[in-house]
Formats: sequence, C-alpha cells, structure tokens
Amino acid sequence: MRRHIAIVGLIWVVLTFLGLIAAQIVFQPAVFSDKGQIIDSTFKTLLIMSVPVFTFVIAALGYSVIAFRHRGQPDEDGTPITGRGPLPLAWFVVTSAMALGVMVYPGLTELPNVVHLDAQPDVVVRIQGQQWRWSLSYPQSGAKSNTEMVLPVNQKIGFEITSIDVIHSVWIPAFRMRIDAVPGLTTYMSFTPTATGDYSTDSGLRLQCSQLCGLNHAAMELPVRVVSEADYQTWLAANGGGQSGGGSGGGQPVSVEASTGAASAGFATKTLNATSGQPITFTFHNNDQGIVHNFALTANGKTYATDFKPGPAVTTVDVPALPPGTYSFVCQAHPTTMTGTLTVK
Amino acid sequence: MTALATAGTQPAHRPSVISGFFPIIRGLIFAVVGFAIGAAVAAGIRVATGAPAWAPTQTSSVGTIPSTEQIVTVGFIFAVPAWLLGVGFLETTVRQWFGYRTRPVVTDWRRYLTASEDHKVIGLQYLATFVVVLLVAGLGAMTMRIQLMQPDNQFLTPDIYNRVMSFHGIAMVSVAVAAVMGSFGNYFVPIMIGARDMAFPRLNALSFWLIPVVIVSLFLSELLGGWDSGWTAYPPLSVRNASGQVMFNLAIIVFGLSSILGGINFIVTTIKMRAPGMTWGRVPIFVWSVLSAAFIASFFTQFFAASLTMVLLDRLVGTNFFIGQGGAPLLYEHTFWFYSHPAVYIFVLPGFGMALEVLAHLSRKPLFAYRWAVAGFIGIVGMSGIVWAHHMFVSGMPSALLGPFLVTTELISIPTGLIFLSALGTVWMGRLWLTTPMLFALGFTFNFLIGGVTGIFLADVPTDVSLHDTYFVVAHFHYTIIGGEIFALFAAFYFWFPKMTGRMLSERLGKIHFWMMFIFFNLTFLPMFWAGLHGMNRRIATYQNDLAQVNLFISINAFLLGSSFIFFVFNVLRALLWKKAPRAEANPWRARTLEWLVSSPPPVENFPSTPIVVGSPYGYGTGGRPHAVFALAGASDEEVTA
Amino acid sequence: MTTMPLVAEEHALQADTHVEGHAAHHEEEHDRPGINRMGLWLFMASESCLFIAMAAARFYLAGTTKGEVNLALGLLLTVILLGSSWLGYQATGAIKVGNRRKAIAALLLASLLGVVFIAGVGVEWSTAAFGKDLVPPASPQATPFGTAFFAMTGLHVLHLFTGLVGLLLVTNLLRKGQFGPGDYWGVTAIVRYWTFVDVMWLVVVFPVLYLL
Ligand code: HEA
Ligand code: HEA
Ligand code: CUA
Ligand SMILES: [Cu+2]
Repeated sequence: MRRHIAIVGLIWVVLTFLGLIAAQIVFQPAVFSDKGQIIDSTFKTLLIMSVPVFTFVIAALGYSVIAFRHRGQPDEDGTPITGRGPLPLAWFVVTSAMALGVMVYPGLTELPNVVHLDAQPDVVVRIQGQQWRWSLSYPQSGAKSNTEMVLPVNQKIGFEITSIDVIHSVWIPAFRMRIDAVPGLTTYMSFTPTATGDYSTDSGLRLQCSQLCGLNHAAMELPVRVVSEADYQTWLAANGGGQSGGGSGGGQPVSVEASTGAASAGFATKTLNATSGQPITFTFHNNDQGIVHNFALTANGKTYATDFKPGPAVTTVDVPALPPGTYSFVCQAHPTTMTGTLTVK
Repeated sequence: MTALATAGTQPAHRPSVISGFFPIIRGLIFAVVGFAIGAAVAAGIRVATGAPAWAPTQTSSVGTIPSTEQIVTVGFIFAVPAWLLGVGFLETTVRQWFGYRTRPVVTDWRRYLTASEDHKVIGLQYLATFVVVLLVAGLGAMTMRIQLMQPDNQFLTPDIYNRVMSFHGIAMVSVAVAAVMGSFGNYFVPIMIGARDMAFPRLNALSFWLIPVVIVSLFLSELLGGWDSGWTAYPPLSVRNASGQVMFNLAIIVFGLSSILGGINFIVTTIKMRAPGMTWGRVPIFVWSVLSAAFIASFFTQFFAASLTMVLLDRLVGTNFFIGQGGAPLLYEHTFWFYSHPAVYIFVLPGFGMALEVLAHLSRKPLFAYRWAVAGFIGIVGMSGIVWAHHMFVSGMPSALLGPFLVTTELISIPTGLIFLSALGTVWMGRLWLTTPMLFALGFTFNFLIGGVTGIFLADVPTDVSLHDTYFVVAHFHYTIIGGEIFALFAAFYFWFPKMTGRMLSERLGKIHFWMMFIFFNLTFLPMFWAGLHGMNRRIATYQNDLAQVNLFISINAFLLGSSFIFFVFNVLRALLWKKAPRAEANPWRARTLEWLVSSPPPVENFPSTPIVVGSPYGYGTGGRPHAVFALAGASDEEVTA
Repeated sequence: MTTMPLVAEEHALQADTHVEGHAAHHEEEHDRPGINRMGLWLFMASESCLFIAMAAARFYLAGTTKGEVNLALGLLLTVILLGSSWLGYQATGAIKVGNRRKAIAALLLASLLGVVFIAGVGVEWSTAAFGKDLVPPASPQATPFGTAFFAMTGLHVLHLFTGLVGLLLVTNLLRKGQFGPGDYWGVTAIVRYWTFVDVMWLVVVFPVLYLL
C-alpha cells in the first residue's frame, strides 16, 4: 500500500512538472488590447492551477489501471477499502479550498478589471447589429461606416451596442472582448487597443458576430483596423466626420414617409424633388408601427442612409450637394419593394 | 429487436412481421386523422373570429403571423392523443369505455412495437430508439464536419448548415436527457431495488410513446422550413424565423412532458417500491443517480416548457414576451438556462451512476466513499438551480450578477469532485477486469475530467468573455456529454446487454470500438479547444482561412470516430441475429446487485419471489453477507443465495 | 405542460387494466394508495413550477406595474373557485360514507362553477383594454402587462379545463357505480387536482395579476 502511494506520488510530481512546462506554450494568438492581456494571463493562471488537479487524477487512475489490472476474470476480490474515515473528508476540504481559491483568484479579482466600463472614454463608437451586417457611428465626430471599424491605438474606446432585430454579439477575437447586441437594450464595453494592425495581417482583427442570428450569421463580420491617432483623424474626416454632432447639417429639407404596410406597398412618397448645388437633409418618417425601415439614397457611387429603426421613428441623413439628374433610393430592409426616385433640378 | 428471447410462453402460431407493425401503422393513421381534425378546428375558429380560414400571412404587432402556424399547432395538439390511442396506449380502457371487446395483450416480440406497460419492454424500446437517434444525429455531425473540412466550402448552403447543426444539437440533447434514464433507468432501477415494475406502468408507457412524436415532428418541421436557431432557440430569432420553429417548440414541449412524467415515476418508484431490507444505505449507486436526475427532470423541465410556450404565444397570438417595445429577449435566456443548466446534470448524473457501478463490480471492490458519492449527487441537485447565468456572462445582463454566478458555478465542482473521489478510490487496490464496459467506465473518468476542468475556465468570467460561443465551449460540452455521458452509456450497454438480451457481445469487437472511439474522440475534440482560442466561433458554416488545417484535422478524426460505431452496430446485430451467438449466463460478470441474481433476460415480473435484501450491493472482499436472498416460492424455509 | 392528471387516472381507471394480470401483484406488496398520493403530489409540485415561471416572467416584463383589471370580477371569480373546491371536498366526504347521490351532485355543481369561472375569464378577456392609451394604440396582448395577463390566465384556464374534463369523467364513473367507501382514490385524486388548480389561482395568478 505504502509503495503504491509513493509511486503514484512520484508520477504525480513528474507529470505536474511536465504539465507546467507544457503550460508555458503560448496558446493564444496575438492580443491587441489591454483587457485582452488580462484575459490571456487569467487563462494562463487557470491553466497552471489546473495542472496539478489534472495530473493527480491521471496519476491515480493510470497507475491503478496498470498496477491493479488483472488478466481475465479475477479469481479473488480486491482489498475491501470502503472509504469511511478521514480520507474523504480530507478530499472534500482540499477540493473546497481549491475551488474557493480559484474563485477568488483569478476569478473575482480579475472580474472587475475586465468588465468595468470607462466613464469617460476617449472615443465613443456606436455599433448597431442587424441581420446580417454591422453599422458603426462615431457620435463625437459624426463619422459613419459599415465597411470597416477603425480605432485609434492607445485610446480608451467606449462601445454602445444595440440591435434592431435579433440578438447578435460583438466579438473582436484579437481584443478578446465580447458583448451581445440585444434588441431593445443598449450594452456597453470598453477597452484600449494597444497595438496597430489590421485584418489583412491578423484575422483576429475582425468584428465577428458570435451569436447565432440566422442565415448569414457566419458571414456577419467586419474588418477592424487599429491605426495611429493621425490616421484615425484622416479616416474620420473621409467618412463624414467633422460636422460635430452628426445629423441635420442644415441642407435643404426633404421629407420622406413610409406608412403602414410599406413593406409591400412601398414608400408613401415615391418621388422626391430637390435643387442642385445645395446640400440636402432628408427626414425620414417611419410611421409603420413596429416595422423596421430606413431611407438610403445612392449618389456619386456612395450610399447615404438613415439608421434602421422600427416605426414610429424619425431619422435624418445629410447628403452633399448633387448635380442635376435622377437618383434612386430604397429602404435597405425591403430593397425590392420599397424604392423611389429623387429628381434633382 | 426481433430476435430477443422472450421469457413468455411461445404463441401457438407465428404472427406475421407485418402484424407486429399494426399498432404503429394504426397510430400513424390516427395521428394524420387527428391532425386533420385539429386543422379543421383551427380553420373553423379563424372563420368564426372573422379571419380567412387560411391566408398566407396575417399582420400583427410582431410583423406577420402565417396562419399555417396556428393551423399546424392545433392540428398537432389533436394529433398527439390520436397517435397514443392508435399505438394502443390505454387501449383496454378505451375499449371498455366504449363497450368494445377487449383483446388479449400480446406477449411475443410484438409487444416491443406496442404500448406495453412492462418496464423491461419500455426500457428496450427507449434503448433501441435512442441508439438510432444517436446514430442519425451523429450522421448529422458527419455532414457538418464535411462542410467544415475547408473554409468557404460549398457542400452545404448556410441555411442547410444551420438547420443540420440545430438538428444535431437538439437530437443529441434528447439522447442525452432520455437515453440513459429511459432505457437503463427503466430496465434496471426496478430490478435493482427489488420491485416488479415501475410505480406507474401506464405513465411509463406514455412517457415512451411521446418520444416518437418528438422525433417525427422534428423531421416534419423541415417541411415547414426547418429551424435554424440552434438547440437553444433564442428569441427574437426564434420568433422571426421559418415556421419549422413552431414544430420544434411543440415537439420539445412534448419531450419535456415525457421527461417530467418519467421523472415523477422514478421518484415514486425508488421511494416507495424498494424491497424489504433495501435501506437507503444499500441502494445501488446507479439508483441514487437516477433518483437525483429524476428530481431535476420533474421540476426544472417546466421552465423549459414555459420558455418555449412563451415563444409560441409570441408567434401564434401576438403576445409580446420577446420583441417590440417592452419585450425582453433576456427573459428567455434566463428561463431557458434555468432549466438547461440543470439539464446537463440530468445528462451526466446517471452517467456517473453507471460508471461507478461498473467500476465497483469490475474492480471487485466496495464502492469507495459511497455516502460521499451520494452526498455529491444531492449536492449537485441542490446547487444545479443556482448557476444558470454562467451561460449569460456576455448577454448584457446586469454586471452585478456576474460575480455571484461565477462563485456558485465554481462551487459546483466540489460535489462533482466527490464523484471522482469515489471513482479513484474504487479502482485503487482493486482487481481490475479490463473488459469492454470497464474500459468505457475508465475512459469516462478521463474524458469527464477534461470536460469538467475546462468548465472552470468557462465559469471564470474574465476568460469566458473571450471563450464564450467559441469552439472552446463546443469542445467543453462534447467532453462532458460524449466523453462523459455517452462513454458511460456504452459502459452500461456492454455491461448490461447480456442481462437484457441473454446474448453475449463480442469482447474483441467491443474493444476495437472502445479504442477507436476513445482515441478518435480525443483527437477530434482536443483540437477544438485550440481552434476556439484561435478565433473559431460556434455555429458557422465557414471560417477564417488560417483555421483550415486544424479543421481538416478535426474532420478526419471525426470521420474515424464515426466509423468506430460501425463496430458497435455490427457487434450488436451479430449478437442479436446470428443464431450461434454465445448465450449469456445469469451472472457473467460475477456481480452482486439484484439484476444478476435472476436469469438473463429476467423473467416477467423480475423475481420468482420477492427478494429480501440483507447486505450491501458492494460487499466485495468482505466475505460477508450476500446482497439479497429469495424465499423460494412454495418451499418457504428453503433459501437460495447468490 | 399539461394537465391531464394522469397520475390520478392511473388508479381511477384501474379496474380495467388488471386484466393483464401481471400488475395485480403490486397491490399486495406495496402501499398503492401511498404511491398514488405521492405521484399526484409530485405532479402538482411540478406543475406549480410552470406557474412560478410565468409569474417570474410577469415581473420581468412589467415590473410591479398593474394593469387595468376588473378587481371586482377577480374577487368574484376567486369566491366561485373556492366554492367549487369546497363542493369537491363534499363529494369526497360523501363517497367515503357511501353517499353516491350526494357525491355526484357535489361534483356536478363543482363542475358547473368551473364553467362559470371560465365564462368569467372570458368576460375579462373581452373587456381587457390594456394598451388603448398608448400612442399609437397597441393590441391588448402586445403590452407587457397584457402579455403576462393573457398568458397566465390562459394557462390557468387550460388547467381548469382539463380538471373539468377529469371531474366529468369521474362523475360518469360514479354514475356507473364505480368507487365506494373502500375505494375512492379516483374521486380524491381529481378533487385534489381541482383544488390544486384553485390554489394556483389563489396564490399565484390572482395576487400577481390583480393585487400587486
Ligand atoms: C453533461 C453535460 C455538462 C456538464 C456535466 C457540465 C459541467 C460544467 N460546465 Fe458546462 N456546458 C455543457 C454541458 C455540461 N457542462 C453544455 C452542453 C454547454 C453549452 C451549452 C450551449 O451553449 O449550447 C456548457 C457550457 C458551459 C458554460 C457556458 C460557456 C459559454 O457559453 O460561455 C460554462 C460556464 O461556466 C460551463 C461550466 C461548467 C462547469 C463549471 C461544470 C462543472 O460541473 C464541472 C465540474 C467538474 C470538475 C471541475 C472536474 C472534477 C473535479 C475535481 C477533480 C475536483 C477538483 C477540482 C476543482 C476544485 C476545480 N459550461
Ligand atoms: C449527446 C450529445 C452529442 C453528441 C454525442 C455529439 C456528437 C458529435 N458532435 Fe456535437 N453537438 C451537441 C451534442 C452532441 N454532439 C450539441 C448540443 C451541439 C450544439 C448545437 C448548437 O450549437 O445548437 C453540438 C454541436 C456540434 C458542433 C458545432 C457546430 C457548430 O457550432 O457549428 C460540432 C462540430 O464539429 C459537433 C460535432 C460532433 C461530432 C463530430 C460528434 C461525433 O461524436 C459523432 C459520432 C458519429 C456518429 C455517432 C455517427 C455514426 C454513424 C454511423 C456509423 C452510421 C450508421 C448509422 C445509421 C445506420 C443510421 N457537434
Ligand atoms: Cu449576427 Cu450572428
Ligand atoms: Cu451550464
């Protein structure tokens, strides 16, 4: 009995030693955020803590199988140890202590470091999920994007996340951070990107939907680029930033409406008129109770769109001065049935 | 199962094979008629309330309610009782009620195809059904793995992938919930406690015959567009997707009903029907584990039913639980996981029980720390209801809840650890007879350790923020469910097959099955942890190019894992159909529990006379009293011992 | 989930099954009434979880806001249900001493009160006007409180309805001469289930929808 215990103990020590070496292997890909680093080191801590537990069971189990196995049917019974007495109690106490330990550190200790929110983020990014794409807006500058997410390095980013239809989830693997986008709720997340990079060099830099949301869930992703402050400002300016506060830039007002049943009947206002040479501000009145619509105008190879909102809602979009001509607009939620034309004279 | 030796008397004439299927055919016909009546009723109600009997769509606050969904739902509600009547459930009663002549109950192989009330028949019905479901859902997994062999694969469309994935998920969950309890629980719990049947045999038949409804409905849902919302079926997606979702919800509500009734039956049976002398300290550990799982099944399943009902109401009558102003998608997540977390312990507790049972008998040792293992079960049941939100760490629920759920979740590893104590202590210094069931039980211990320990990584909020909804989670739960429960299921299968059928399985084929399954299981699912850490999220039909190698590796091993089942299927068919397959004696493992004291298969009513329990089921090496003795019927002073 | 008190039926319809012979043994060996009673209790405990889930949903959706329900009607319905339960117990008491006619009468009256109750809920449903003040007005069942209200009362009526079917089945058996002083589990069971449904109204549905 003594001898068996000694051997198992030895195996345990050896396996633990090997396991701890193996745990030094870097299991994770490159990390790009401050909280991501905390998460990775938490993972490592857990890995190291789990090694002795794991190897203990393996040592005891493996040794028993090898040492106590019997060729063919055993002719006698094993030693009748029933496990009364102090041993189970000791096991109980030790495992409880371990469980409490791992709970306190790294669990509860690191928890606030990962989930706390910056009250005063340097940059605010609003993310809106919808089947099956993301739209971003940067309220401080008015910039908008639905083709990529650009963030400045080393600045505190605060995210405000919503969804207009089903639950989605914002996940950027390289930042290790994630939070669901829930319709009817705004969720928050904040962290600081710590290195520059982009999707083309690291596939972890993508905004991936990670909550099953139907047909194109797998493809609901957006490239992410972390850039220097200067590049970030340039990007903002090129994407409609700079007119602080966004919205209603004071162009000539044009009103558009969708009423009940618009999904099949189309816009209530199918033809619109405007004057050339002046910026235009479109105000879209969605009076279709509970149904999501928007207004999207294509001009100069660009699309100017209002946010998706279920009716009743009023949204606006600013369009720069347009040359005379006819332009088409749609509701991007119902692009086949809800169409119209804008005539600029 | 046609070749099963039946203990009853041979009928005078051989019934034709077709006649055996008569109840099922009649059930199907009844179901179709019931459905038609229900559909007509629904259409009638619609007309009465001023709506067109059938219209492609109808608008409501939700958007649109296809009238098909209402019609299908009412049709379904009528079809279920009609089906039950058709397969012969309550047949005698109903016939008498309406003054028809009652017919004698069949006793030959045909009873496996009708609503028999014999717990052993029902156990085998469950077993056969769920082995088939396991294989079919496994084929679904194979299809998924083909799609995932390379990025941007065109093998399945995204829609079909999502549907196959969802089907695989729910079908496997139903296997996990009901396969063990339904088959081995039904067959062996009554025998192991020395009873002649379950407490409510008729309820037992009902529990089983609801299962085909579930399976058929899940398939039929594909006609209505299937459902692509995973096994979790979160709204608002599940309120907005194709009408197949309605069938899913109805089917799973029925499944829940079946498992609630089953659970109640087990509780009453174990509490009330133990043989004389079968004190709580002498109850075999498997019985304890089923009892614990039965408590969870009876009480928590209602919350799943409630969640699914709410989704149905949103779809069918325009209530607003989950969408629109005031709707609350997180409500579903709470009620769903309030059931579905405890449900994972419904999966695994009987698995623990079976593994410990096999380990003890085939190590020829008393079960180590029996009382602590039982305390572990009770602890798990008690705590299972307070950990659910660990599935919701990134759902947007109030962040004040994160810490408490982290704590409770990690606490639950303490009672689970007690099971490991018992397992390790039991094999220690034993005489390990490494037969196929023993190998599976040992494999279980190894695999579940990995599954359990990785659960701690997920329970830790900081790491879960990163790991949630990635393949790390997929790996975790395949380790706990397949590595744990399904390995234990096979341990039990190989252990009890001789008892249930009177035939021996081939040890050689069994060992091939074990080693292939064990090796390729680990090679399939271990790399998934890595993939998850490297940015592979769940439920996707395509992925980033840099994950191509690891996915190819996983797929190939998954196919090999799948092929291991061919040996299993062959082994079973060989034992059942081959005339010269070796017969099983009453106690091939020289085990002590009650089922081994009777013939293989056990006679109708299980025992020649009521057993009297006089000792521990695990009294190996003590040279002491046997577990039970029988007073021989007729010769009351003569006793046979085992 | 559902509703038919099958555990109760197990015995109520028992006389017929034992043709199959083999089940007959259990009776002698085990405490059959105790088994039946425990099964029924467990079933009712399980069903009450369903009501608890719905009540939780109500608070989750609508907080503690109260809808415009007709409290007077609610109180009246409560009284009706209590009366119905009381009648049920009269029936059990009567059959215990072999008074078949009184038992039948009590059960029929209890069922009648059940029907009145269902009609009362129907009135409440047709007059419920939650959401009419919203701009734009919403259909009653689409408001948070309305959602909970219709779901909970609907669930309760469904249970009541199955109880009603059970009551009528048992009454019919009584009429045919089944049950007597030594064998009245079927009656007890259905009456107990009926009371359970009332209790659910009394401690869950009514307070949660009308009083808070
Ligand atoms: C049989 C099924 C089963 C079992 C038993 C478990 C057991 C556990 N599970 Fe798992 N789990 C699932 C099935 C299961 N799980 C499924 C299906 C999902 C995904 C659902 C979905 O989203 O589709 C899931 C998801 C899941 C999540 C959510 C992940 C996410 O989506 O982000 C979490 C998070 O906490 C978790 C944790 C745990 C823990 C802590 C245990 C513990 O019970 C494990 C305890 C065991 C041990 C720890 C090992 C043995 C103990 C010792 C040797 C003692 C010493 C150890 C210590 C002191 C640590 N599981
Ligand atoms: C009991 C539970 C169980 C079991 C046993 C399995 C078994 C397997 N599972 Fe699955 N799985 C789940 C439960 C289970 N799974 C759940 C709950 C999900 C989540 C779904 C969701 O997200 O909603 C999931 C999801 C899931 C995914 C993730 C999908 C995604 O997120 O996109 C993957 C990916 O590889 C996978 C793979 C496998 C594989 C390779 C097996 C293999 O073990 C299968 C082995 C193969 C067989 C068993 C087939 C053998 C067949 C034959 C030999 C032919 C003979 C057949 C006939 C005659 C009919 N499973
Ligand atoms: Cu959006 Cu998944
Ligand atoms: Cu869980």
